[in-house]
Amino acid sequence: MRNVWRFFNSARLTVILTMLIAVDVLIGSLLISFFPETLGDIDLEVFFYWLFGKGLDNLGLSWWIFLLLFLMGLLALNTVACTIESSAALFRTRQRTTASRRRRLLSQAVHLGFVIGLVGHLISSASGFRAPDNRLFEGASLPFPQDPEWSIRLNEMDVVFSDRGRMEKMDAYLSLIKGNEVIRDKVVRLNEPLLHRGNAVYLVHHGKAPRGVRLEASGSDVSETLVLEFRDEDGTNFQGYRIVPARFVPDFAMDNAGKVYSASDTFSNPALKLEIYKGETPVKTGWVFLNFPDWMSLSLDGYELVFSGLDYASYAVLTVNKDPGAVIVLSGALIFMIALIGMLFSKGEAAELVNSGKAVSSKA
Amino acid sequence: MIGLLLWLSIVFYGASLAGSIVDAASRSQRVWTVSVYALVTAFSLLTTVLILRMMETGHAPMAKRYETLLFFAWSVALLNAILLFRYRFRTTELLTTPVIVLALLLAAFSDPGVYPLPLILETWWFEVHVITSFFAYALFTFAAAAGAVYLFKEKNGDAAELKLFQEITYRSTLWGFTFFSVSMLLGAIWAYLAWGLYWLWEPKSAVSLLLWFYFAGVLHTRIVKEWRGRRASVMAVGGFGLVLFAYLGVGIFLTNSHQL
Repeated sequence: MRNVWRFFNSARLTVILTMLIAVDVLIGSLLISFFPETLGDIDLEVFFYWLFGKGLDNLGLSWWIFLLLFLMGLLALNTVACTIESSAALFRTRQRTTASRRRRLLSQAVHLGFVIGLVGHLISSASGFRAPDNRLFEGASLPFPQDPEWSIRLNEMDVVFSDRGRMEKMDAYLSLIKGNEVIRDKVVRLNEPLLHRGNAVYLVHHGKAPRGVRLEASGSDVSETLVLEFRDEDGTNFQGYRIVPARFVPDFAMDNAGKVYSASDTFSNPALKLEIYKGETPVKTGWVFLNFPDWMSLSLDGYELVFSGLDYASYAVLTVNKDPGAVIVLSGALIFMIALIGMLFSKGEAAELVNSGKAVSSKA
Repeated sequence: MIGLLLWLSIVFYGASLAGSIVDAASRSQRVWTVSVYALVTAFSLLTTVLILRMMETGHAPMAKRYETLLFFAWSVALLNAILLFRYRFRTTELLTTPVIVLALLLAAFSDPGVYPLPLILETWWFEVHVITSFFAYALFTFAAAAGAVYLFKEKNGDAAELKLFQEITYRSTLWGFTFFSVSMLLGAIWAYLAWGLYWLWEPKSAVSLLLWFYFAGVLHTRIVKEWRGRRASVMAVGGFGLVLFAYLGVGIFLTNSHQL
């Protein structure tokens, strides 16, 4: 046991471990760069989920991460052992506070900050969630993944481009909602996320895309434009009928068996399948086509339904993350930094780059 | 205008370096004085170049390699000036001034075009993150220079002189490590605010972690008897190679998502 303690309570071990970590990370940085298809998506999920999933499946490329974890574990034990030993020695010597004693105390605080940071990083690596690529249209809401009582609603996107096409502003006006009540409004932009109960909402980019379709409904006595959203299962009412969008394909095509499919992701031949109800009773089903409005419309009791256009809306792409370890990492880092800066200035002369008493110059 | 001032600065740094070399050999007061004037003129010109560049772009000089090379050179030059005027210490100039000249020459042949800053970089977190990392690079450069002088004088230098250079290597590494830690902390906070992650598994961040652990190791050599002196100096010199790899090598040889 004494030998184990002696092994870990050694500054020599610290130097060797830091050098080994440096070499390991150097190899890792090369592997990340040259094998992005395997190692390029680590940040998309909680670290340990990736490591013990895809990482284990690709040990040939991820071995250095496992080695890094092992070395960091040893370094943490080494740091704790050295800190305990040095602190005990400091408190055993009951001398009055001197600059050198203060300096040694601060160096233990540096170690403590480092260990707290490591613990926080361990928690970050094993808990929370990462939910990238949430596309949210204006007016739509998104519940927090592990806290569905809370949600965010995108009220409006405000994007400004310069004459040269450079984006100068990208603001998402969000509301934080609990149940049906708006708790607060927040403008989210790059570098300014919405932070709430450990959840963090980030604006990644934006765009415009069809959210639904416009139908021209006309007859002898009425002419009206109906807007149907793709995901609106209740549909819209027109002259006592309920018109429901059953299926939308951006590039309509049909195979030999008569099965409808989309030939591409582009809006080359948009088509919408409509289901029409009277009360709860289905009365008609049929396809309408944007490119063929005149001869592919749908007749309904003297009215014509014509697919007249796509209904475009702005959307934001949001990332929602929860990282319970981040605050602990930050706390550790702050303790580390304050103690390190304190060490520099704890003994007036130590802050000097050159020991002034022994300075040499070309003309000294 | 900026290009002309940049070349003038290179010329004056070249003159200052030549003066330092002649001074080291001859110990002539006149040469010493002339080389100090050349150094001051070169630093003034370089500072003017940086100020004009900031006025031209509207942001701190750190968006493109041209600007970061200027800023790296200026950081090392600032350190040279501090050493000269606060400590009258010039021995390491023989090694740090060539670094300045090389960085400025690389800048002179880099694309000086003015490009708008992406929105994500329009935050002071980024500016301070980069400024502190370049100050750290400059201090690690100085540590390497002091380490190299130690190794050069190891055979013939007296014990007090060797101890001095050993101490300088340690202190500049400690200062550099402090600036680098601040830089990493600010970068982590910025990354958390920008992407929701305080750490990214990409080459530049990995190499930064490498540098941090490496110099943490260099600092700990001070309390291990057999690692003091020669080994610590060799590590400080090797650290400069890692700094160059972190700053230029990653951007040139590796694919990474880091902006600089």
